[in-house]
Amino acid sequence: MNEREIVITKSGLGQIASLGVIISVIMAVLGGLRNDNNAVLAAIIFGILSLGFWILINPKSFIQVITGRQARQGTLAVLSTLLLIIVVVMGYVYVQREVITFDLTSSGTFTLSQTTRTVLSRLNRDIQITAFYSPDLLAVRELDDQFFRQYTVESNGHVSRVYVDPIAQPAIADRFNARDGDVFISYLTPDGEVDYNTIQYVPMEGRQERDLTTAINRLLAQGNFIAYFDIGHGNLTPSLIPGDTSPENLSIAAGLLNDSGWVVYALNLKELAQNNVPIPDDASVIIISRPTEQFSPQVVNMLREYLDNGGSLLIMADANNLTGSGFLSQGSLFNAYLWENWGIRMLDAVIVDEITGTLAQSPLDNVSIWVADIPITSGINIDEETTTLFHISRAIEVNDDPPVNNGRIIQTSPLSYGETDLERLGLTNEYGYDEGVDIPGPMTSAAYAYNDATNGKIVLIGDSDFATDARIASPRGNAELFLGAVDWLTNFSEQITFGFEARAASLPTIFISPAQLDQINYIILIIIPGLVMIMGAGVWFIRKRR
Amino acid sequence: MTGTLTIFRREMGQYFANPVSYFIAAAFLLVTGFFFIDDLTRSVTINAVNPAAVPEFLSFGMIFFAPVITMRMLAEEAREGTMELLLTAPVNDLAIVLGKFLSAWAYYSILLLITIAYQIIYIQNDSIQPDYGITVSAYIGIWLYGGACLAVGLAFSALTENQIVAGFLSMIFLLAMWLGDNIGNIAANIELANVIRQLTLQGHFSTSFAAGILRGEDVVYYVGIIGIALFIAIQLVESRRWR
Repeated sequence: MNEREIVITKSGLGQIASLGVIISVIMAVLGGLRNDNNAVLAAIIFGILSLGFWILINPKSFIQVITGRQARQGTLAVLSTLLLIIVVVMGYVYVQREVITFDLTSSGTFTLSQTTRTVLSRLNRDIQITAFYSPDLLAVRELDDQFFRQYTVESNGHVSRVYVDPIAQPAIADRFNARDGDVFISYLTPDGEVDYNTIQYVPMEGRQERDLTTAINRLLAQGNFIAYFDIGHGNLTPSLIPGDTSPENLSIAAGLLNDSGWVVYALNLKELAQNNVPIPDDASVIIISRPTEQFSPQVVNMLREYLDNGGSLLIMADANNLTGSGFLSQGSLFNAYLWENWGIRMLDAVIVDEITGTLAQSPLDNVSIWVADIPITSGINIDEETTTLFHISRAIEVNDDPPVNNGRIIQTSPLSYGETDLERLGLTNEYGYDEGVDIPGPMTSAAYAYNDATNGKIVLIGDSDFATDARIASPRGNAELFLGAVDWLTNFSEQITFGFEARAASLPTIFISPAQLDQINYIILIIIPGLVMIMGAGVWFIRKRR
Repeated sequence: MTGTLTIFRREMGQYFANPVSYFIAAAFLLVTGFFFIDDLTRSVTINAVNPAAVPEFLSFGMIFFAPVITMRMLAEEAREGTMELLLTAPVNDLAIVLGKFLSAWAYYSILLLITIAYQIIYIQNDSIQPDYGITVSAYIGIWLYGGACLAVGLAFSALTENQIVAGFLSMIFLLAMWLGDNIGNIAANIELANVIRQLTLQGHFSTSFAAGILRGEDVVYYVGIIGIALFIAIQLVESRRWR
């Protein structure tokens, strides 16, 4: 058996030591990437030791590397290469700062529309886009930045962008209540700090211009839209007591308005009328929810004046006879006003609908079987979750020959009817259709009216439970109805939502028959590569013959 | 310039006279065709047509194709001893490297042009309406991306006489440059990760050219990589004179 002699030379050891220097540099870089200071320190110590060992064991090799002819030429080559790299990097940084971008998409996905430019031109305060990306979402951040920086450029610097790593900076993420990938916009204070009172969440669905521009619009409109809830007639209201979580509150409804940039206040209509004080001019809408007493003639006059001046009223009333309030009972002053001037009124009848949705538990619960195709209902009846659900609602009558424009918003099924024996219903919870006494269906449970001449608007809903904290989110259509009604009454969306042109996206699926697909497969996978192969074989054959 | 043209013509002649070039081209077209068909089939049933399907695949595929195309270019000259003849011929080192690079890029461009023919299928079928702007942008991007890969491959070919080693080293280097796009998955410092991503090939393609955006800095990056890699290749060829 042959034994090979292993010879350890100084030169060999020197090479190993020089290799150690290179390895330590790589280790230091990797350690730095992982923010591992210990690893970087260990790599530096290892590198210094390797270098020292190299100099000690084979100083000639070290000196040759430093001072030899090859070293001189090599250094020159390295330095000139470094110089070129520096020039390229400087050019890169310069071009990057100049933001030279061409959007080649035929749909203009990365070009801001004129509408957005107009919105940006209205900015008189600095806005900051604060977006949260962990290192995992680096590519998403890069893609979003393509989009955000258009806002920076077009707003002449009014819009700045800040990226925060929610893992490295959890305190900032907490202040925004942000998750990874979330985007927010807010005003900046004169000191350049985020104004936390103005934070708006931006739902980045597909990184649409619409989402961000609408959010900026919301920011611009912040405080301009004011909703007053009447508290003067024993109404349902947003909670006025901190910590009050009663399910009968309208706190969630008010919160939804707040989230959209609305300011919500309480207003005592009764007190105003008694003191002969008009409704505030800044009221975008007055919300009257289940008053427990009749409106006095002074209140009716005050509301008449408000509506004649282009005001908007959302009235949510219940089966009042059952609760004993008498509000909007047939023959009451306010009900008569609504009928004479707006062509809509409440009936003293409770809707009974035998055809109920899966969400309803009794014929006294009625769902939106039919909804009008109007902006108020844009979010309703899209699916099962977006129907509305009213519990013991009142019927509404709509004058088909009205003094102003009016119409039905929600109707129950044709098999429904209006139960007029409210006493029996209240005492025994019994009901049944009495021919000639009860009102045959379909019944209207919500209606609208508007006056072209004055711009006054009214939405009348025969239920108020749907907007309470207990019911507004279940089903979701209840919240959609509340927001849709407020939105229509005030033209909020028209002023806020970015009217965005449809993006020409590719169709979700294409239509190719199996025979066509086979044909395409044949051409692309066999004919084209096959022809090239035949050409190659031909060249090979010719060369072989030569 | 005459020297560059001479080398370019010589190299292009070799491509057309060498059956291996045709076999590489056939493999290139087969694989890109497969990815195109795969995207087309999925768009019949699952999702929308990806107008950048072929370029997006090539952003990965070039890691392997570029070394295959370039690995022999200078390494073989050195191994067969023809490099000495070249160095003594009336052409300078710049012309040698540039001529070879341009020929490789031209060969790659021809292959890329053939894959553009796939788009005819879209045009002929009314039900498919991809955003051709994204297609154009992605093809411009992948053309520059390919140029950068070829330049890197050429630099490694100048580094060693063994074309297998040259091919392997350039493949590893390009793979690292491609994987750098996912640096965020391992780096804890996002700003450092972002700087590293700015250095990667994929980082200047996937979120810009492939999305339909042509950015000045991306063009500068690819042209810069080509320039630096070719400069290194020239230095390496030149180093044979004093090594």
